[in-house]
Amino acid sequence: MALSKLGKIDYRLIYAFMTIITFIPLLVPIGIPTTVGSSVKNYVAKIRSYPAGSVVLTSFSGYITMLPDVEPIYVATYKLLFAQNLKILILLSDVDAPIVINQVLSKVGAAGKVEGRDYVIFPYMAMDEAAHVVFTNRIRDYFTTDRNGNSLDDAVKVPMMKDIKDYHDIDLYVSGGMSARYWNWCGIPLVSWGTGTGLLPFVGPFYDPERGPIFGFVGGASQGGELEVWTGYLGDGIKTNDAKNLGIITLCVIIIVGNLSMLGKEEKK
Amino acid sequence: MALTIQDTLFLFIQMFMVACVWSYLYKTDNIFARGAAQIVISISTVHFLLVNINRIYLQILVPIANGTKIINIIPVLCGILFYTRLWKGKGWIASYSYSLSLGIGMGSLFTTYIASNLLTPINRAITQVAGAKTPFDQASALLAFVGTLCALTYWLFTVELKGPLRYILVFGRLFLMSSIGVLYAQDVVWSQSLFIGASDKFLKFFRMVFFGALA
Repeated sequence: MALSKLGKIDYRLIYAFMTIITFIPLLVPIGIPTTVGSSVKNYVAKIRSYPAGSVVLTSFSGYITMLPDVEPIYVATYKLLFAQNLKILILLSDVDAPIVINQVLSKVGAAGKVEGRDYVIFPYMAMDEAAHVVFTNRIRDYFTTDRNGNSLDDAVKVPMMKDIKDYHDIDLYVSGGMSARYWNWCGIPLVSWGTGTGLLPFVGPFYDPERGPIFGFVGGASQGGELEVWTGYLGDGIKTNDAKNLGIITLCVIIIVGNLSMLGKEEKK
Repeated sequence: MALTIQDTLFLFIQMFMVACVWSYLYKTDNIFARGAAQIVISISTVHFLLVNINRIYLQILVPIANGTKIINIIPVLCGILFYTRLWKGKGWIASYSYSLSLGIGMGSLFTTYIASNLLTPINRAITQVAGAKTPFDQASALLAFVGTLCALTYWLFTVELKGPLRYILVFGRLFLMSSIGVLYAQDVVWSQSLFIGASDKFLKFFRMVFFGALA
């Protein structure tokens, strides 16, 4: 009888309760310990295995609505790539990405790094599959300029692109969930980043820390927090991990209570 | 960190929009939630349009104009043909553009799809069993291999499995349900992350405006 009453709780009270539970750790961090998973450790190890000057292509599909889930990953990864002095190519594969990349790079704070010399940002790339196939074979068949309108062959403004013509000149690809598929056939080592739902269901068949093609991955804000802990670049990911963990525990309790109330209804019948 | 009027206004708009969207949870059909939805939809549409116009201008029209990529005329023409759908009786012309883009899209899809989504998972399912080093990895790889076969059998509709063979279907269904469960759990965690991001924006306004701190 008492169990069946649980199901009659006003859903707005549950929302209010969830909001309070989320707000508390954002205001007063609790410090729930973070365990770093092996996929995150392998992701960092793979990037760190490249010497300075290696060319890394990053597929940046940062769309604004998903940003809370992936921004910590983007920021920590770019900090790591810049610290390694790698040559970074940034592929903007979502319509929001041309704006979001500026926000992310401002948080990265790549002091001393010059666009065109240390990193190149391509203009927005429309279409996925067909565009990636063209891009892999000949970069200049798809893009003739960088995002600022400078020719990729301009040795003064974009000197980094001088010897980068196609996928043979790229040493590592930081791919999104689906774009791992587009690049798998090239034989380039991959590490993957993205949202939890957009990445994790796709990487399983490709992930092997020893043989590849995906050598490590970081998906979703929880693993973003792990990445921050492992690299030492602490930011929003670890700051919000307490709220995430507490929220998920509360959600599990609510699911159990919901199921108990259903049992109560069955008994009543 | 001193706040400018511009920063304060931006933070207020951010906080207000989040509050408007959350008002949907209290009462589904209310003016604040509808207003916020319309603002987001209209701004997104304009942004999408402008980004794509800019892209067409920089990457397609400029190379045609300066003679570096005259061949770009073909996709431009194909794109223009799509709009013949707007004229009654001339819509059939657009079918050439549809066919071309669909054909090229499917061709490029299969280039990567067969190599990556078909051969790699099959290869991985088989070689993982032999390549596993620890007993736990071996058991895990074997379970994945058997599960893959059983899950594939679930979609076999030409032969009805009866008797003891039907347990293959049951096992396959369990595997499929487990993976769907994991996908759903990931979706919940993802929604939780977005909610926390919105909460953080909401709190940021009060922290910065009333307490003058970001931490």
